[in-house]
Formats: sequence, C-alpha cells, structure tokens
Amino acid sequence: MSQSQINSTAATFTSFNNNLFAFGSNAFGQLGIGSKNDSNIPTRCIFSNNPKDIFDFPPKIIVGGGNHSAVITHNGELWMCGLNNHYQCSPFITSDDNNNISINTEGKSDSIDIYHRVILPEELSSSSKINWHHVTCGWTFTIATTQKGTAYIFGKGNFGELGCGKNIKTTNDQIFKISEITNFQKVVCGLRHCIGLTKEGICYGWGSNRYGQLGLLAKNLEKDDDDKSSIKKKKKQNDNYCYFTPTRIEINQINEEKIIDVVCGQNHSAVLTQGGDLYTFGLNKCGQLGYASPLKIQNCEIPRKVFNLPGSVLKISCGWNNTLVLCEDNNNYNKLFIWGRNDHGQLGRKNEFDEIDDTLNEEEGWISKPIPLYFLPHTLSSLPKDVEINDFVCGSEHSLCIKKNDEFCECFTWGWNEHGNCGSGNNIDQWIPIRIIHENTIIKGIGAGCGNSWIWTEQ
Amino acid sequence: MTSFYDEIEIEDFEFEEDKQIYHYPCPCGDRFEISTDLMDGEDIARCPSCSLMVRVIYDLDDFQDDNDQGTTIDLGKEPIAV
Repeated sequence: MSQSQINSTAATFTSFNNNLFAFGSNAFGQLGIGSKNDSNIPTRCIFSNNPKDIFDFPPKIIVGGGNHSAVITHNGELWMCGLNNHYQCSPFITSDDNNNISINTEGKSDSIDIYHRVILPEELSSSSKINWHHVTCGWTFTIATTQKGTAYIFGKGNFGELGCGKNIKTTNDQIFKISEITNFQKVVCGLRHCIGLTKEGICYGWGSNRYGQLGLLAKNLEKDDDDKSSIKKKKKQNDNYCYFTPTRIEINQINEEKIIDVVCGQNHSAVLTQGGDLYTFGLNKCGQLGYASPLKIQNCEIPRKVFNLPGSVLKISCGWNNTLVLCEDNNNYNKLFIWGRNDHGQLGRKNEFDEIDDTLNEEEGWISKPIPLYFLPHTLSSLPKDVEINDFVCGSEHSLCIKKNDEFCECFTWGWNEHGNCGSGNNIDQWIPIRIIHENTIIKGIGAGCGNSWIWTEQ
Repeated sequence: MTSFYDEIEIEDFEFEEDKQIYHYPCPCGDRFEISTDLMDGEDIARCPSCSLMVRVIYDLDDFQDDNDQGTTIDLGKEPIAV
C-alpha cells in the first residue's frame, strides 16, 4: 500500500466521526451527496479529495440557493456544489482526481454533485489563503464575504443582484468584487434582492425593490406615453425597480441604531438592531412582515418595527414567505415566534380555523383564504415547552431548529416536505415539528435552501 | 378545487427565447413554466419537478404589440369595450 493510500483511508475514518448530511431537492447535485436524486433521509455529503481538517469543528455557514449550495468550514475554506451553468459555483474549483489544485477555467461543467473547494487565482499567485467568513446563495448567483470584509460575486442575476452596475448581469468565467464597500460583515439575499451589512452596522441594498424589499423608496418611474403597455414595456418598467449598485438603507431615521443582523425572504427582509428590535419591509402578501393583515398592507418599502413580541429579539431567519425569530420573554425564557404563510405547515402548527370558510380574525391575526396565514407573531407552540433553542434556519417553505438538551443537541424540522426536505423518511408535509434522529450523533449545525436541508453532526 | 402556490404577473416571469417559454422560480429549485400558449388563454404555469403551480396574471392585449411579425391575434369572444 502506498503512502497516499494510507492517508486516504485515515482521512475517511476521521471524517466518519464528524459529518455533514443533506436531504431534500437534489436535481443538480446541490446536496453534495454524489448523486442527483432527492433524498428524504439524511445522507452523507462527500467532499472531493477527502480533506481531513475541515471536519474537526462545525462549519461557519451551510447554505443552499436555487440549485447550488455552499459550505464555509471552520478554518475559512469555501466549498460548493450543484448547478454551475452560470458559474454560480464559481469558475475556480479544485480538481476531482488529485490533491493538486488545478483551476477549471475552460468551459463550465454544468453541475457538480460533490463538494469542491473554491480557490481564487489570487490565492495561488500570492500563496496566501483567503479566510472566508460568510456566504449567501441566490437563485443563480453566490456572494461570499471574506473575514476582512470584501464581498466576491459570481453567477448570473438579471435584476441587479450582482451589484456591479446596470450592465453586469453575469460574471461569466470571472469573479467580481463589490468595490465601493470593503468592510462587509455579511451579505444575504432573497430571490432577486441582496442586502449587505457592514461591520459598523449599516445596511446597503441592491437588486429588485419591486415590493420595497430593499427598504428603499420607489424610483421615479419612466413615464409611459403610450396607453397600450406591452410586456416588453412592463419589463422595462421593472428595471426601474432595480438598484444596480449598493444603496444605503435607512432603517430608523429618528434613532440611528446599529444593525447587528439582516435576513431576506423571497420578497421581504428583516433586520435586527443592537437593542433587540426587529424591523421588516417588502412584500406582505402572506403576512410575512408581522404587523398587519395583507388585506390592509400588501407591501411596504419603509422598515417598520414589529411589535407584538414579548421582549428583545435575539436571532432572526426568513423563509420565502415567513419569518422566524428567537425572542426573550418576560420570564427570561427564549422562545421561537413565527408568522407568515401556513398552507403546508410552514409555521409548525395546524390551522385552528376552517380553511373552507372565508374568514379573517383581526385580533388573533390570521386569514384563511386564499392562503391560510398568520400575520401576527405566534409562538411555535408545538415544540416541547421550556426547551432552549440553540439555532434555527428557514428554507424556502420549511424550517429547522436545534434544541439543546442536557448532553446533546437534537434537530426538529417542519413545513413543506414534497422533496423530503424535512428528513423524516417520507415526503408528507410536516405540520408539527418532527425530531430528526441520526444514530447517536449530536447535531451542531444546520443549513437550508430551496426544498433542501443540511445537518452537521458530531459523534 | 385547485389551489395555486401563487399568482404571478407575467412581467415578473423571465422569457427563454430558445424554448419559447416563460419561467418563474419554484421553491423546490425548479421553475414554473408556461409556453406561449398564453395567447390561447392558458394561465397555469407548472413546475416539472413538483405538484406546485402558479396562476399567471396577464392581459391578452399585451401580446399584440410584442408580436414583431405584425400578425394579429384573434381575440375571439373577448368583449370589446366601447
């Protein structure tokens, strides 16, 4: 047996203890499990070249996009897989077959079904490794932020998501940087919009503001002098809703408080201030803003504070049409509150009303038609009481949370489950959170995307 | 009764020239698709990978001046406002 074979075996053994598992939608290999079939049970992810050290501690970030996904390891490496037809997994990925780094710049391979490390040309030329801090995966693009605060962009976005000017709709075989701002803490994205948070706690938005999801006022629309409006003209009007470069978002003009976190739904956004206040803006079609019925407010471009929460908000996440927050209540218990769409169990509760009746309960904050939804914060009452929530994340129409027990962490999932993205072994919607048991492992990290989920386990 | 995942205006769809289809993202990662059958009054865009579908909101008249060939579309029994 050669030396390299011995090392390879050792690596496999090491990685057996701590592991990343994925489940759900996988048409382009975005789960990184070495196939392009969906899986409704946690399936082990594969990392090319059997790296050893990346498994020592939980990853910093695990996240899915339209048809691709990204992992930032504890030591700041960026790994990606899935559809790469627009270079959304980057043009610069390590080779499959050996441990030498070779960069793939000759033609895009359409999709990759195991995780490959992304290495930029500048890392090779200067031989200093980039320390990645955060990554967000959009529909067909990716924005990754370094520890120093530079945001790198790759992929395609027709609505200004790339933030590099009106004419840049694809990065092709290159990687772009946002040049105006160099101190990003993170950048997050919705379907067609992006929000960057700087280390000073200031938000900048770019991409589509069609529903006010950037928290920016509508631009002056070009006047349409022709009464007949064709689709092309309407599309041109849509361009007027798009911001093509980072534009500052004023969250609270009276009291300029530091922002400590930001998250994006499909067409809405939520920010968390240092004082524990939550502000939301964008589309409210499903009550996802958390303060008003969609019959009253369809969308709002002005960030507004969400009341109806018992105390300080500690952590936030958004699904495509819902919002999930961890909030400290009067008795210093940390509880999950959730609101928005609930036609597939996205809120982890069965609807307490008859969906056939065309009803609205203003006080309780729900509407039954056309889509059942709760437009005011509700507790995730179906979880066992008095449990300490360690972490949570929303996918497009489902969610995951980790609850801390005395000795171990366990994971719960709920919501739309057509692709097995709740990991429950079936594809039936989970209206009540279900516990995901994975042998005798401790679940210490979670991630979610469009109809898929990831869990990081330690043994 | 059919329930739709969403109702989306046609201008929010993207158009793919090669396949002559309009498409819009589905939460599963695939896309709701509808062909130029829109002109025949079809208004349901389906996702090939799951059960979800969306209703397309559009105005039949919009297709008239998009037609570069200048052929007219028969509006059939559409009422004409006077």
